Amino acid sequence: MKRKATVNPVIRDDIQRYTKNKLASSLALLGLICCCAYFIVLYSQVKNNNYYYKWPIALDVIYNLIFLLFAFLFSEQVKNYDRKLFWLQTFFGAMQIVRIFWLPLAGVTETLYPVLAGIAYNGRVLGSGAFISMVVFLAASGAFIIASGIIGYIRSKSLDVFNKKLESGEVSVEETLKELDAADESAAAVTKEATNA
Amino acid sequence: MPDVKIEHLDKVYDGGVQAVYDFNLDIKDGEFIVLVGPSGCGKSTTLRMVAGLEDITGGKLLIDGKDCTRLPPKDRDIAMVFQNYALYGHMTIYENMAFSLTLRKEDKQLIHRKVMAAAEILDLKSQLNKKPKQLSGGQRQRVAMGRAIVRNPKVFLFDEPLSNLDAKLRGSMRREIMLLHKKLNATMMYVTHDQTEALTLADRIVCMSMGHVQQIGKPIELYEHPANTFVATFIGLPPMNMFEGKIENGKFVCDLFEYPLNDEQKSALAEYEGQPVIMGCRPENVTRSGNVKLTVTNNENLGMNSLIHGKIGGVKIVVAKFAEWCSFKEGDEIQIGFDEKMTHFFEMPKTTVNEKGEQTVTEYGKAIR
Repeated sequence: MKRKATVNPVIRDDIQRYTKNKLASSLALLGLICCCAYFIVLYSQVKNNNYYYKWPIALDVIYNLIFLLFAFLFSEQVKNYDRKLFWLQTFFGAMQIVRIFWLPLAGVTETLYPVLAGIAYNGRVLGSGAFISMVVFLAASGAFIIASGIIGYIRSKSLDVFNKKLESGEVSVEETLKELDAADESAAAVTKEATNA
Repeated sequence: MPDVKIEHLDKVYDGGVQAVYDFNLDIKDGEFIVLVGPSGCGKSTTLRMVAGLEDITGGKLLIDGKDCTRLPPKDRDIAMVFQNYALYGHMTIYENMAFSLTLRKEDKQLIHRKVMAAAEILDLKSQLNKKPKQLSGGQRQRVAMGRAIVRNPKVFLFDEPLSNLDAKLRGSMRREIMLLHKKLNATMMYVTHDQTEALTLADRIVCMSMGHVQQIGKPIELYEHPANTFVATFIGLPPMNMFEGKIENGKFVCDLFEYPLNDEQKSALAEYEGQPVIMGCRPENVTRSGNVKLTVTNNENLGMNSLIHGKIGGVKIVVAKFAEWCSFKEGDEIQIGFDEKMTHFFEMPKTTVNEKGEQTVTEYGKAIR
């Protein structure tokens, strides 16, 4: 039968010493996946002779490659409670949001406005569905990367504090475990007595 | 910890080959049972039937009074430790030990407490962040045991857990398993072909051969009072010396020597007068005085004692174990005898001849007492 234990702060922190920061790591990977979704939508819009068929797309490809590399690096870093790259991670997350105002927005202004203004335009018009998808994917990607960084930072900091407390003898995992076992035993004894009565 | 009751257990494989015949055993709460026997005797099959990894063809299995005969392994509340450790290479030791509880979606803090308690018992605390490949064989086997301990199962099953380890490590792990049993006071079933493990670990030994239980008893019972010729030769190292002969006028007579029986032996063997029987004597019960002439073929000095291999009448190979440093050379002739209190008599085994003309034993010679 499953037992629900009350949260003990020492045990909660001690668990971190033996487990990976899977939440932060998964969020960073989600950020990476969202970025992939973004560029799949973007590159599907690139057709011969349209607005996107220009040199900025090459810069976007290069940036995407760099982002994917770093997103994976962030995922591995936060998994091991390492916060060395926290600021860089936040920067890359923010950059994903900034990117909304580059190619997606420019795509709309360059292709939709001439059509709306009645000016002759022979290229492909960026649809609202594609535009919204790109905005959502980029925003989500940025949010996941930043959230991953923040969670990674908080947990890594708390682990450091806990390790220092352990070293100084301020807390003892062994003592806590013994106390919890003793509490469990006395609770079991009370339950047994109540059952017998 | 619960009782385990095994009643008339049979295992017949699809091809019609029967691996286990009518296995009966009552395991008491906290008892350490060792199943011992040569390869192919059905000991691992029996253990796997208890674990639920093999279907039970016939019979009944009760764990803590609950009929588990047809229950899937996950519902039997048992834990098994395998010879090859079966650890997940990509997980850390902590994750390996916590894995079964994580699958059950137990509370993280409870999992942590159980893993830490098991690591403490097995002295694995400093290894928890390592991967299995970074550990030695003995440590890996301890992890496998830890994984079983955290589940707090009703019964622990061990399938030759020390067979992959070298002799020295096996010795230390054997002691650790013994201590573990004392600490946990758990019901354990342990399969091995190593009689040293069986004799040192077991509260009771189940000696098996050809799918049949040959004898169940305390280690000392199997050693001092073997039920048949198989147990007599399987338990004890070097194996018991066996001599075929006849009972004639209060003597055991064989081609090589005559052995006068004492009063107790005479009364036990009274109805075997003139009939063929087997006399057995362990190497450690061979004495340095007697009327049997032994020609030494090999002398192994082991420090505390010496193993003397020799022939009687130029034919029968006999091993004697003397508690002293001997300096016999090949070809030396010495007089030996047999400790009359420690000689055993058995009926002749029943044999049949198969289609290839080979003689096979169908029933081992029973002990005469």
